[in-house]
Amino acid sequence: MSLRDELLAAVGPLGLIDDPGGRSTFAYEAALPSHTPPLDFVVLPTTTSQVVDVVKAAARNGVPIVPRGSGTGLCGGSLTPRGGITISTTRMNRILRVDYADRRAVVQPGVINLDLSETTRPHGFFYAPDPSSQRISTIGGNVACNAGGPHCLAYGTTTDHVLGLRCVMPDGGVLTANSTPDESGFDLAAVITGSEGTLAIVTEIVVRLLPVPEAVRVALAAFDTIDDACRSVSAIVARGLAPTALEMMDHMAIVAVESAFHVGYPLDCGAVLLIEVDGLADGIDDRLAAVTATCREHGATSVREASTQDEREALWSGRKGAAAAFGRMAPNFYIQDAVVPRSRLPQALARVTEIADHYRVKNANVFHAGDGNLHPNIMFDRRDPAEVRRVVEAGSAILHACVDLGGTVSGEHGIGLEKRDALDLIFSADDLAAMAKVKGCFNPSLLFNPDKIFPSNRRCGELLALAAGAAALASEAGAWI
Amino acid sequence: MDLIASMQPSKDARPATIDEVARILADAVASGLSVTTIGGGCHLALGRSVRAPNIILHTTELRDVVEHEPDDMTISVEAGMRIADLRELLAHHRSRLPIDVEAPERSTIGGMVAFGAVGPRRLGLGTLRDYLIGARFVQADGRMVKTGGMVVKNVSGYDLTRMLHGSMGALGVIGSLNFKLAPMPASQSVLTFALARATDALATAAAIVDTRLPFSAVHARSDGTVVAGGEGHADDVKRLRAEARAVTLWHGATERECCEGENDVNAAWHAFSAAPFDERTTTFRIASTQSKIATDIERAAAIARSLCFEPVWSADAGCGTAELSVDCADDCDDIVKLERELMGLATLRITRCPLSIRPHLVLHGRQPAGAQLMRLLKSQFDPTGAFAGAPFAVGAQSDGR
Repeated sequence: MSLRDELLAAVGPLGLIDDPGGRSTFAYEAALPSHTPPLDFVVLPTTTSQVVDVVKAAARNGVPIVPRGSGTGLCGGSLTPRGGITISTTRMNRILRVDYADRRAVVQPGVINLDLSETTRPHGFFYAPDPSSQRISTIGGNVACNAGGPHCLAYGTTTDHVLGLRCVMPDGGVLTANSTPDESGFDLAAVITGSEGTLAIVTEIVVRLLPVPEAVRVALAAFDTIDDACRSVSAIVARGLAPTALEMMDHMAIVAVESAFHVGYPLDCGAVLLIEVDGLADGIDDRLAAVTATCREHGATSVREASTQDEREALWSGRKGAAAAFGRMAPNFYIQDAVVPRSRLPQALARVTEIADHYRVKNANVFHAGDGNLHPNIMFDRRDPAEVRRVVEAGSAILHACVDLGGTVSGEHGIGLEKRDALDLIFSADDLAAMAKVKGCFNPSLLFNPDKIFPSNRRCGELLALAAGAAALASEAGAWI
Repeated sequence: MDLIASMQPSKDARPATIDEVARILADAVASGLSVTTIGGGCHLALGRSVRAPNIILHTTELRDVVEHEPDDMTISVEAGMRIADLRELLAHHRSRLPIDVEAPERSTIGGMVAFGAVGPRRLGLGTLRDYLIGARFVQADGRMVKTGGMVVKNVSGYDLTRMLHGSMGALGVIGSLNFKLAPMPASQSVLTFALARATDALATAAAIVDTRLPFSAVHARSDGTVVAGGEGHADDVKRLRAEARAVTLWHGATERECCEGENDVNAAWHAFSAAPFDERTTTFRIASTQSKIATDIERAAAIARSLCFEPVWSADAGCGTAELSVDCADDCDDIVKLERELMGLATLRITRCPLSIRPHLVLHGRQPAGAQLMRLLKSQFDPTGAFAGAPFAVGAQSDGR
């Protein structure tokens, strides 16, 4: 029986795509990295047992498997550098169970992030991780990358909301990680979350649901300079004011958003800080006032509080739509993801500006300031190879600068193909070897998502060629979050 | 110290630096010696040594602050730092971690992470796992591993940091741990209500949880009391008190005590965590779900009573867990029976027991679904079995029972 026949037997004709046009649809990601050869098959299973059959067929034939959600990844984690089989979770999109009394839900990996909260909100619960891609990205993809989002400042990232995982292992066995709450032993769900499909194929996820807070307040503080805004964020964190979200946009981002959506952000400022506070209605106004007073102390020129639900949504829509707005600014943009300690935000943003100037690239900053999680968005035109080169170099320089400030190379997008060599900036050979031991235990055949996360140890020139090729890929797919 | 003496090690090691830990482990492996790591020695009874260790490695001299950035709300501390010292240091900067433990003067932060300690304010504050952002640990061969960092968001490489939580030291000797910190709340309080029966306390606690308001803790206890905590803005805490009073009044409770302020509240939770029968206490931790915990703890208590114990328990209604303690004295056979029966009921773990009965108990409940993989991981990080005397050998202790 050929591999094609085995896959067909596993998922049926509706679950198999092997024509060149269909396959190529799945060969892209919203990422900068690499030029990948065409994958051989796309399978769209609907159940864990179908995934088991696919994995067993792949194992028998020694073919790599790459899991894929909606393809909104930003680091090339679902690309297929060695071809092989892509397991798309598109049809594994059922919310299997919601237990409101136990504050948890069991979902298939292809469930769209926002769909879960929209399902549970009428019952008074929500799913907290909210990456900007939440309207389209899947919870399985979020687990793979340990996705964050604006509200992770208060609620933590995906890993804090995963209670258990059902996974298919490379030999076709099914593993239930953290099958019961608080069970003894190693926290396998913790290490699978964020492993980008290199350890196991997640087929069911038990997630925590939180009660919808009683009250929410949103305000927008404007500053003359991004430095003032950054110093405000550092002071808000240092004072322990703990807002739910603290998002920053610089002048260029504001201009992009305003020209696209007209949400009412002030255009005559250097930066805005979007502030959200939630909780009980009793103390919420005081808590918001403490945050906005800190902003004023640090140079906020105006503070606008949303007084209605519509106004709150309007203020948020600018932030959430920023990536789409950048599409109007340039043919392509490259979003970087790095983290610094919160007190170093002013220096980090100053370095980002210097780097953008040095490499003569246009950059807009929209980021999770409260977490110290930077997202420089570098605009470019892929048809200009010299500019593409400068973008790649600027991105790398930003990572180096953040690491020099005590930070790290990815806060929420992941490592994938794009950043695997950047891990050498923060980890020693022994550190990486410890991770490799984990990979060896889960995935000894190395057929699950090969070439991801671990450094390639390529030379610099080769790396640049790789990244330049990837830029072309991103542009064809259209860059968006 | 009696517990440690009973292990009859050939040598005590008290490294003062993580590099020294690495040297000790490298030498031990080269000489074929086994090592057991001990922090404050609070949970020694919870591991089973496969054989007596040759070296006891005490982490209590590893007690420095590696890095503290109060403005970043992050800290890195060495594993042997005492919980009481850490709490005092953080309180000085108006920050904190969820570290309500039974013996803060003895317990170390490394021990609490390795043990996977869970405090009574888990509903509101979470566990130490939620605050871990990085670590350094030394593998059995003496190689040091850094994981995570000093930033609050990080997806750079596999998350080995959180895997240390609850690992019982089986992956390596934890040298230092990095945490993000929570701000000290402006106001906090603990209310205790009395009801006629334990069953009423369970129903009342569940009703408080059902309000979906952000209480920091809601417990029902076997003495018929309900304990509810609130923390945050003064007006929020006032509201939580009012809501708790309204719900409990409806259920016929009377208010017994109201603690306010940081010191009194800490003291109240400390008292809450104390062992009810001193050193004779055996405590079973039962993990269930919010909707089933009332039934499960009542069934567990009935089982204990059927074996002639007089159980004392508290159920965390918001988290779906419970702790049931019995005075075990010398009736080892009955404790073994009780453990076996409770294992059939829910996810079980023993969190306290006298050393004398430890060899007869399973301790860590049924083998988890991923036990085979856990063993593989253990063998990768400790290929020669140098941590044979470690307090936890994943999966191994539940084999054969």
